[in-house]
Amino acid sequence: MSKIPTINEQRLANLNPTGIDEDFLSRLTASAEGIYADLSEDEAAFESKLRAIRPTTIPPGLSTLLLDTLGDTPFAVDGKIVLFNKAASGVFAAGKPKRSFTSSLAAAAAVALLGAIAAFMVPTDAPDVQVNTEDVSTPYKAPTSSPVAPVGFQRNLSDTRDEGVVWRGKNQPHRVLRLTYTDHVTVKDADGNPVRIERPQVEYMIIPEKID
Amino acid sequence: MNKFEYLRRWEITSIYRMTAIEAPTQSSPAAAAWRDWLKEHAPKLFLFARNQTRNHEDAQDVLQDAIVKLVEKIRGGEFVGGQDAWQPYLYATIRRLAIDLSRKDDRRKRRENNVSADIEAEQFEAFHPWFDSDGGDDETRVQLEEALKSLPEKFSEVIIMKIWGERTFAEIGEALEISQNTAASRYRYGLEALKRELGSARRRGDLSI
Repeated sequence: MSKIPTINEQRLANLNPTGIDEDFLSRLTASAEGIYADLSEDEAAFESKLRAIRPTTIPPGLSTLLLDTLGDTPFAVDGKIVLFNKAASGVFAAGKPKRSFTSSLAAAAAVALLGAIAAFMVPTDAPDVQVNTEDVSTPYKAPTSSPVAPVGFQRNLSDTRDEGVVWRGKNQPHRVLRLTYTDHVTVKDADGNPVRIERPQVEYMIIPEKID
Repeated sequence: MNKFEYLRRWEITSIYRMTAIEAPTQSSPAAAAWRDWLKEHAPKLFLFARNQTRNHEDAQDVLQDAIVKLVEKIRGGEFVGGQDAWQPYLYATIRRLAIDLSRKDDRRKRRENNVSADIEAEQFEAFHPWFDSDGGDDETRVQLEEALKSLPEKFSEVIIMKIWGERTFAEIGEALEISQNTAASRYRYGLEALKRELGSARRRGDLSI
């Protein structure tokens, strides 16, 4: 059923909204043209004068705190090059790493892991190599002197990523690979109670890159 | 070269740990890079945090928390984008943390109800100015700080991000969850208001800008 307009509605309908002022019209026009964000010469000049006044530096205590916070965080120079810290975590540590119990177990599956990764690292130019969960299991022989007895080890590779190429000395390019995986270790204590340990890890590898 | 040939070659290739790319210096490349990055960008971010919190200590907390969140994302491999994306992320995070803080922090409410604490805070701020006094032009920086504080926050935050943070309107819009044109509009209104605020001081010849 259609409504019949009343006299009041008719009178309201006859009222016109006020026109917009010239400034607002200019703004709308500039927005439509996509040039509204462009500054006028005066605005740019005032802006550069203000920019010449520099903010104060952060307090020394805060600066130290922030550097500590950043710690061994990798620094992305750009999309392809990432700098790493010398005193990084065990994943990145140079030389002979300090091995924890779980990392000793993890080492037992290293070959299997590399094999699994290698299977996915086909030499293409694709920037990302995404691999979904892939279980790599390996038997582990328990050391006799250990107070706990490892009974199982599993490494779940969740992601491999091609982080791009970095250049080292002698103009030798190296490809950086980022591996994300979780180690699952099952041990039994002296009473024979099973304990399951999970250890998420991220590891980077550098592989010499072939240049054609 | 087929896949298996490649794998065989890959097996005999030396695999280096990540430390292989370290520069032979005492300070690690990443630490040095972070230090330089902080030196350049932390003052701008801190200025923004101070504008958002209006309190020196809160600003420090907020900036640190924002950096921690960035670090967690980088380390966790969750951060999308490189260095260019850090600042937009940090501006947005600082703002969000400052809003959260103002909602839950009753210290501020207590401060607002405490006149002596207000005076104390003002005195503290006077010794911790927002801007450096280059060339001894103290009056300019004092007037500018006062003018920025007197502006509505929606204007001052855009001005600080644009002028000292050197962000584009698109980046500002993204961080503040407004459109690019709204960011530009607020900037213009804010700049105009700032000119008016500084106008009288400029006419007196107190300002160098």
